[in-house]
Amino acid sequence: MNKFFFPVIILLFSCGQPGEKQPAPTPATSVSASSTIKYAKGFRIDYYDHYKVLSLANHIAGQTDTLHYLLLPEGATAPADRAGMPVIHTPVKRLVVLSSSHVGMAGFVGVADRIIGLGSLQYISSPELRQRINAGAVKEVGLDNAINDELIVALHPSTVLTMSNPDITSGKNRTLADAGIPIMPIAEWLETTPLGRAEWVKLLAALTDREEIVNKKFDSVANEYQRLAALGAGAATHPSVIIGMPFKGSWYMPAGESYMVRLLDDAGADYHWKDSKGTGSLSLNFEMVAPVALKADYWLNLGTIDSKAAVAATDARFTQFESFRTGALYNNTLRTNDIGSNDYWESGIVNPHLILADLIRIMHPGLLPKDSLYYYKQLK
Amino acid sequence: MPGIFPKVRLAGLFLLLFLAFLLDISLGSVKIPLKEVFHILFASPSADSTWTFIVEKIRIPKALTAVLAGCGLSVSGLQMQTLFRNPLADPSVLGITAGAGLGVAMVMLAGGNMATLFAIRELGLSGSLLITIAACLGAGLVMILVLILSSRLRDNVLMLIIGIMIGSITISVTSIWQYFSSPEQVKDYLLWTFGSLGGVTGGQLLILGSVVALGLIMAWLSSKMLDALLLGENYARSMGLDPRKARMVIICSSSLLAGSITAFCGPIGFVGIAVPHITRQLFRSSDHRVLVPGCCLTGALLLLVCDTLSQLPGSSTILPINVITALAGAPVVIALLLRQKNINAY
Amino acid sequence: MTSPLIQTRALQTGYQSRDKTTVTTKGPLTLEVRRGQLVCLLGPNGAGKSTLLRTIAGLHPPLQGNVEINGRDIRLHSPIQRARTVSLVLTDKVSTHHLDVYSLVALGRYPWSSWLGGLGDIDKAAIEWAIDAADIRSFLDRKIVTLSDGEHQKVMLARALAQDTPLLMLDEPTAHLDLPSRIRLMRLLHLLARQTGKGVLLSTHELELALQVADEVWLLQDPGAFHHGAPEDLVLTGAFEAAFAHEDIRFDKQTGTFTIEHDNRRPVGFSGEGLAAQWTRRALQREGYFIVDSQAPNEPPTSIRVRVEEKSNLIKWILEIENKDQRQFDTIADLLKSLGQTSI
Repeated sequence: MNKFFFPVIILLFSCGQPGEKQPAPTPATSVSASSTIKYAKGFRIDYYDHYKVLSLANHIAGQTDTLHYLLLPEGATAPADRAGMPVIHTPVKRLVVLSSSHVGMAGFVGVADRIIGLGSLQYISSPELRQRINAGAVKEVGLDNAINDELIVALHPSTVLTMSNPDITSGKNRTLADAGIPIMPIAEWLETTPLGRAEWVKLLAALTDREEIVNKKFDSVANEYQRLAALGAGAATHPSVIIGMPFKGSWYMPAGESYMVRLLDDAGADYHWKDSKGTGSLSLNFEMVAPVALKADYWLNLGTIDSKAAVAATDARFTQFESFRTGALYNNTLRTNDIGSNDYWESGIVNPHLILADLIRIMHPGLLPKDSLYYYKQLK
Repeated sequence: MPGIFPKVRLAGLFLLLFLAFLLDISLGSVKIPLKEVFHILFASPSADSTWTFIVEKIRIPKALTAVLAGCGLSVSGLQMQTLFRNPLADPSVLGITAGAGLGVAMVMLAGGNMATLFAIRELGLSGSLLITIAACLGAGLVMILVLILSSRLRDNVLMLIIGIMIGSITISVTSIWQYFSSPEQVKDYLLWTFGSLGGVTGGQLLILGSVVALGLIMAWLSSKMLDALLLGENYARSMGLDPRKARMVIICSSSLLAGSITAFCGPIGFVGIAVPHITRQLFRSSDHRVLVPGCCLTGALLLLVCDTLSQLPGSSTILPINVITALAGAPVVIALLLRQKNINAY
Repeated sequence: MTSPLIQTRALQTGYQSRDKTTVTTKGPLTLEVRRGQLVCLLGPNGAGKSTLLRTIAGLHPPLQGNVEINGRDIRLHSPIQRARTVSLVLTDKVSTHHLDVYSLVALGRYPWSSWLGGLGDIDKAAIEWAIDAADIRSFLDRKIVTLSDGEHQKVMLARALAQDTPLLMLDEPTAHLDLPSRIRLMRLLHLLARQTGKGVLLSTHELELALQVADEVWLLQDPGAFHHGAPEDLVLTGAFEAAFAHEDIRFDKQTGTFTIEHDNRRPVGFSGEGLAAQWTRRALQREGYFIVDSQAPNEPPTSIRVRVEEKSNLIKWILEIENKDQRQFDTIADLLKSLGQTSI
């Protein structure tokens, strides 16, 4: 669904050209530690003697392009054959991020204290970051069209992580490029597997020279995830599931190739549209969903709804769903704080194993030792 | 001269309407045999509870909404065309529907005001109800503004211009909010502007039905005033019409109809401007005692047909109702107007 | 003496222009219209006839003073009460599609019909009477957008008649009618006043017709002056002449008509009696000749003389040119032609 919105995209700033083919020099033996990317498909890191090259897949109107960034230690000189690539000096000490998922990633990598600019201060879950915001150490730079380039330049970050694919030729982004602040489109949401999404932490690790720690942490997450997935797949029952909250009879169900379906599969659930094509959402009318929804065992991810009464108030017809009758309504809003920020969207990205554990606990009670949920809560 | 012909045509239209209703609830994305549909409609529920659910809870409410919206929007348009003696007037001409859109935008877009939204949600008002209430408030505020202005202004043309200006202002404000919103919010708002007849069920349908019924009754009871206005305000006044009172009643009734329908279904275009013309041609009359019920039936019929078409029987997607009303209706109106020789007279 | 139907007191009409200066058309006026009276409002274009009429009808607020209907201020009457007393025929064009003639006339019953517009027997009778009075029965079923201007005018009159009010006010009702229709209309209005006792107030340009039918004339002069009274009085006092005074026209008190003034008029002596003589004078005046009465004692002799002789239904025109010629003609046209060829 998100893909539809992102307009024609970037050209690398003044110097870099898209699709520029760089001659591949001999990879180095090692620079600090290095990461190998196993699950994520949207980026690549190549380690050389004294520098790293980060390649990001960039999607422009149906075609994919690659953006390259040169990660150079402070004080080192850029190699001649990398001239023209935007440079980011590592380790990165000052970051501007525009998405909750980036905040989650930063927390995982342990560099949340290096965030000096946020797109919006409204929705933050990390207590550490909230403290720093209250102390005035983090500035709000605006989102989407309202991004304030002057503010960003004044903050002197090493880079800006965006979630959309900004048009680099447009005014504000050019200003940032000219000021030596490369913009990085982080497309972790395009990954089709939960681990693939989480693995983007390695990109941040590369920026901040923390590969060793992050690799260890990630490996333990991945292992735990695989263990749980095996449990889910081997479960005795495969209960049916519907996802999401419709608007006026228009229902958006995740498509068969999306990461959500992957998650459901790993949790041992049965999803009616699991064979459908696409990595985004299916737009279905109420009539098509009704036969499935009336009989589904579980209903997950109901938007911002907080109680059974609110579900009934939204649309009286929901009360006839099997999942409503049995009370099998679970929403991922357990970790919502006092200002309305839901941690699922922040730390959830880097904790796929916790989400999977929740789903297994919900749908296969007793399969896992503890029954308390982390992100999910039952609607009463 | 009012004679027997309007009655025959009205009866004929009513029959057609009934058939269209049946057709609308028989067709849809899920194939349900006709016999079952009739069974569910007239007798006890079908053996297949899913089918019963679909027909009773999805299709019938949608068809009823189509009937209400068709009646309400077309009569509202008729009143606006008569009041302003302008063949291009439609329910949105006073800015009521724009006001509803503004209310919805405030809830759906609203840039940095998420905290207030969260606070409202804490009160237990969920998504669609919140949107409906916001739309009602927006439409209501504009209606009050328009009523105040109409009691001060003597000239109807001025009112028309002010209504158009209100519409422009709300669109501008909405655009600003859209500019500062995330793509998802913008898309959600865009989807709202496409209009939708689904999702109005149970208590909401009852409320919509009551308000529309009230508006229609008010409109029919003011037939005499509307007829007098056809001659222009000077003649109408000389015949004993109180122009201020007339304007108040007409604006109130038209706004109730347009505002409530927009609040529950989003903005639905074209019906309000086209159906009065179609109805006048069909009945060859300018007598509002005939035109009001005539517009109701014609509008309801049109919208039911459009709703049936929008479901593209067999497929899983629904086309937005606004697209269908324009595509299906525009050629009809063009054809009718070409046959009419004097286009300026309405 | 019955009380007046409508009366103005110290009325000043006009309208506020954009920069708040008031443009006072007339005033202060104290006028009245009584039952059975036909009043004509005359005056040149731009003098404010329409504004005055509309103010009296209650469509336009007076700048000062007030208008009373049946002794009560017009503003105190409810719209329905006012509508049952005064009906209007205006110059506004009605162009509603699908509205047929009968329905439009029936709308005149607005102040009398039921709350939903239903027509009772009395209403229908009034409508039928109005249709016959205005002579529109032949095109009753037609839609009003298909009517000619004259037919339209008649229909609007019928509507006002259907409203069955004691007072009828018309703004330029003869505007689009041909001459026979104009005369018929004025005659109808005159009869209405006489026979039904209606009070009729109309503004018109038809001076000559007005002089024939009006009981009272309100004469507006641009700028400022206002005269009212019996039409004959206004002629004799020279008010008419003054109101329409213009260098190219002249109001002939004798005939009650306007004549076109010509320049450089050649004198022609004239003698003759009767109808033929009268028309010959007109023809000569049209040609630009100045008539000198040959038989008048003090008039200087003219070099050209025209004589009209009528003998047992045979008319002869004799043209005498001083010391030169005497010609005889059988038609005025020949006479004029010959005169034209004569040079002096």
